[in-house]
Amino acid sequence: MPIISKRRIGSITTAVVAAAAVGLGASACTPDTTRARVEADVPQTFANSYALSEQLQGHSATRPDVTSTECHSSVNPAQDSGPGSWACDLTYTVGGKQEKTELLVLIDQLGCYQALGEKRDATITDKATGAVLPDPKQGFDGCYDVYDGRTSVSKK
Amino acid sequence: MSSTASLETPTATASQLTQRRPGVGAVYGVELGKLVRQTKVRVISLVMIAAPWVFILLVLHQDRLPLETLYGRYLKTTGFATPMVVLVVAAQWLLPLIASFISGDMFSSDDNHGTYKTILTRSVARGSVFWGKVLAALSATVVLVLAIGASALLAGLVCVGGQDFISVGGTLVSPGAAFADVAVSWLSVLPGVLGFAALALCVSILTRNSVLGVVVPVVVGLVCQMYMFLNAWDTVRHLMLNWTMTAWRGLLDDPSYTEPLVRGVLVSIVYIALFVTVGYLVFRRRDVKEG
Repeated sequence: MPIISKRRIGSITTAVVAAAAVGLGASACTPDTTRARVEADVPQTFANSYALSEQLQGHSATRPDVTSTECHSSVNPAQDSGPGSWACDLTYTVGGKQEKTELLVLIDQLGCYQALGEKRDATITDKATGAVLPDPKQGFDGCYDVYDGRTSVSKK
Repeated sequence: MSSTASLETPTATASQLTQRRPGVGAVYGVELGKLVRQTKVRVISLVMIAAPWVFILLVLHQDRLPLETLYGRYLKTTGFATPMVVLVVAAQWLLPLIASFISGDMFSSDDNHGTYKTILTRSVARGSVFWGKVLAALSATVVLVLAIGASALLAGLVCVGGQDFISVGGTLVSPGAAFADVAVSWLSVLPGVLGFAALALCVSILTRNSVLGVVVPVVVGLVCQMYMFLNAWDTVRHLMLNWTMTAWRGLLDDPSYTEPLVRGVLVSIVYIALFVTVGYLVFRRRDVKEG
């Protein structure tokens, strides 16, 4: 007599398939691009890119302190989630002076983005190589972890 | 005595023959040699290895940079950006093609030449033939992918220089750490590439057709890549081999994260195990008498 009957194997298989379907369906409801992930990553990468810009120009690597960030999806305004274009407003302090910038963030389906500032065609000269480069603080790339716990898409 | 000797001699000879029967290593060496001697493999390898040099030289001779590609904006800043831009493009379109090209006719070529009947009934065990061919295809794929990565890195360092690298998060990385970042990134795509190679091997066994062995995995790769660009279910995207080849972005971010890589490796292992198992079962049961 077999240790596990065919009926039992069928039940187990059905349960596993059902659990997998529920898991797949549940996780399919959580988008990769959420407002929480965008608002966590963009200001951090902006601050890094600002410091990188200063460093490449031969200045001291001044890192701005981003005090507030607000990002919204232009494609899906009903629920701030999903790839496409996003608008991010950042307020930051650098050298004791408060500044504001507005970024157009183009997010792809892979959890990466290209952020463009108001002076997106601005260039800098790399002091080390002499090459003329796009200014990192006016245009930078970034990626975020699509498996982290920042799944909130709620609007403020 | 003579009768005893005449009885013992054939037995000993059969035993010696069994012991001398070539194993996986011998088949691996023969198959690898066959791959290396193929003109199409040599030409494709040379073109792929030369392509990064042509690419970076063209970029340096124009004013605009490919800003829409990750690391494209840093191509003139540091030589370490070259292998990363090449990886972004290759992972989308070229690496599945390379895997299919090498593995797609590994089994079907012997079908076309009718050599299985000779090999399997006289000299080599079926399992040895299977594993020898699989290992030859997978190792050749790995070597070619890493050679392209090394060529791209060398092209960047020679044409642009070994300046500090820039992480995905926008921080400067020393050249020593940059070298490790580039190496880890290229190594991280190997499980996904081997998944496509395993698919090509499986199709090659199932269809016994070299054209289908190459074309089917390429078409599957293209369809999956098109799905990757759609704003469709993210969970389905995470289960595709193409997705596993983007996991390096997390490793190069600041702060870095490894979950995409871990999940990608697991997904790739499932695909590899599935395709190799199906291929093995079909190959084991194949009737070789028909040629």
